[in-house]
Amino acid sequence: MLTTTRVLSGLLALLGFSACSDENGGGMSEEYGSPIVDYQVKGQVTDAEGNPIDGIQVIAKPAYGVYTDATNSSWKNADTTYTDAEGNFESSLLQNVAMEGKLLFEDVDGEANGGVFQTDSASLQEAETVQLEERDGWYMGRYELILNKQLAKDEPKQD
Amino acid sequence: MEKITPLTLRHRLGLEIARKLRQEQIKEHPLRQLFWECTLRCNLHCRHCGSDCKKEAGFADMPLKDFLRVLDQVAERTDPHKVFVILTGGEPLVREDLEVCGRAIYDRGFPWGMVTNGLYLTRDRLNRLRAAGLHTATVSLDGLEEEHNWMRGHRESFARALDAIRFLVDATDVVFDVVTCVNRRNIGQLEAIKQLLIDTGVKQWRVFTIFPSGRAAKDPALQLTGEEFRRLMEFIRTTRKEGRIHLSYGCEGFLGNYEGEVRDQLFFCQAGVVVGSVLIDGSISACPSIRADYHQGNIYQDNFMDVWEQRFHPYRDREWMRTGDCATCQYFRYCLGNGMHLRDGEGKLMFCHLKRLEDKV
Repeated sequence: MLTTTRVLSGLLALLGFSACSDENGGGMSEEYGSPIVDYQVKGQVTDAEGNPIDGIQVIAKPAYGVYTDATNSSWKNADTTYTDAEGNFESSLLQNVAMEGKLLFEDVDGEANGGVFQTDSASLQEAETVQLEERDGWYMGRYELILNKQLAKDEPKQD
Repeated sequence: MEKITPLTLRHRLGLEIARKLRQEQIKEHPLRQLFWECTLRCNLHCRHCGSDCKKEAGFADMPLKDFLRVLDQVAERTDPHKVFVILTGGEPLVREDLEVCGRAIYDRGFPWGMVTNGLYLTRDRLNRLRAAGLHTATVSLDGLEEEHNWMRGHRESFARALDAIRFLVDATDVVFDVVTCVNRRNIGQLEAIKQLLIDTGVKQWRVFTIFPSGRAAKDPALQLTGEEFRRLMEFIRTTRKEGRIHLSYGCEGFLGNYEGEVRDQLFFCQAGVVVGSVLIDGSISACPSIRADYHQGNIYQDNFMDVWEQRFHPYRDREWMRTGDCATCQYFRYCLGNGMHLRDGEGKLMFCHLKRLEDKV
């Protein structure tokens, strides 16, 4: 039925009319609704000398504690990923009402991969934003957020 | 616009396709918008108020926990992320615990917004509401200063509403629109209002006309003539072509060949199809302006989702509306008897937009 709906919506668009669809909030994009934005956070984690750090846990945590993983519509409170050997990380495609929240960086493998690094965080507002898809009605578009982070070594305390 | 009817071939084809899509949506009836009439208290006394709300309301504000129980029932059966909660009243900002309400709604996964007259909105209050998850709002502005204040019955109402709009323009994470109730006193000011809104930074503007219900029913200054109504449609059409501000007519009324010209979507009253509501006394309905005769249950006796799934028949099969003028109207197949809020207690239609558009005067 979804295909039929899409075909009919396409025909309506060809005639110069907008279609009502579930995606745009039940076809009432002009009336009351809620903005939805898709975004993915990418970046690189390095040490103070600029060397990439492998195995850093990166948690994307939204400001309001709720968002879906747009790939499977499941509920998640946060999205967790890890840096690769080049220090690069990439979150899932996230969906929320706004791009608000922060990234939490934690060294979870102890001495491995260049020693122990201090836990740190960064606001998504610090990210460089690249728009990949235009907004349409309540849909605010799709974005890529690029946020690089330098982590400090967790030096042993001197007595 | 040459003629409002008969429909052009393009309109007829479009409306036939929209009918098919509409039938599917009625069958699925996914809850997408949930109004919460959280208070009947109001800080204004508007001439056109549909709810007849008062400073001292006959009902106490609904306790938050009662509404949260409804949201839990909704979340058990549908993705809360897809159900938009709209706080309405009365005036939602008179609730001192509005931020607490918003935050609790948001923490359950429901996006939320509010409809406000702006009188009690300050920059600090807006920031607190944003921190509680507010991302959308609708502010009423019913004309330039004199006409707005006349309509709203408060001499500071215009200035404060405009302040509220300015705060919202600055809050880039909030999507908002301004709604204007067009009447006989402000219809001559539409160009000036448009310029004011554009100069203020408003992107979305919605206008509606007044239906004969509540306080507005007996006020002739509020009802547009056929000629004025057509002038309004032309104004919307021209403004949309200019592209300086996104203007649309409200969700009610089948408009003949103006369909698709003054709104993004073709007319379809979605009350009870995707729109539900919880009213101040716990009644379960659709848009808050619908008469009590069409309430479908009460949250203090029923599970909201049981009611949503098993009742609402008058909303989803509107053949019963095929009476009076609608009985012989060739456009009933597209209009389905106009909006649910335009039916009186006996099921009679109180206002036909197409008929008014075709009035000679």
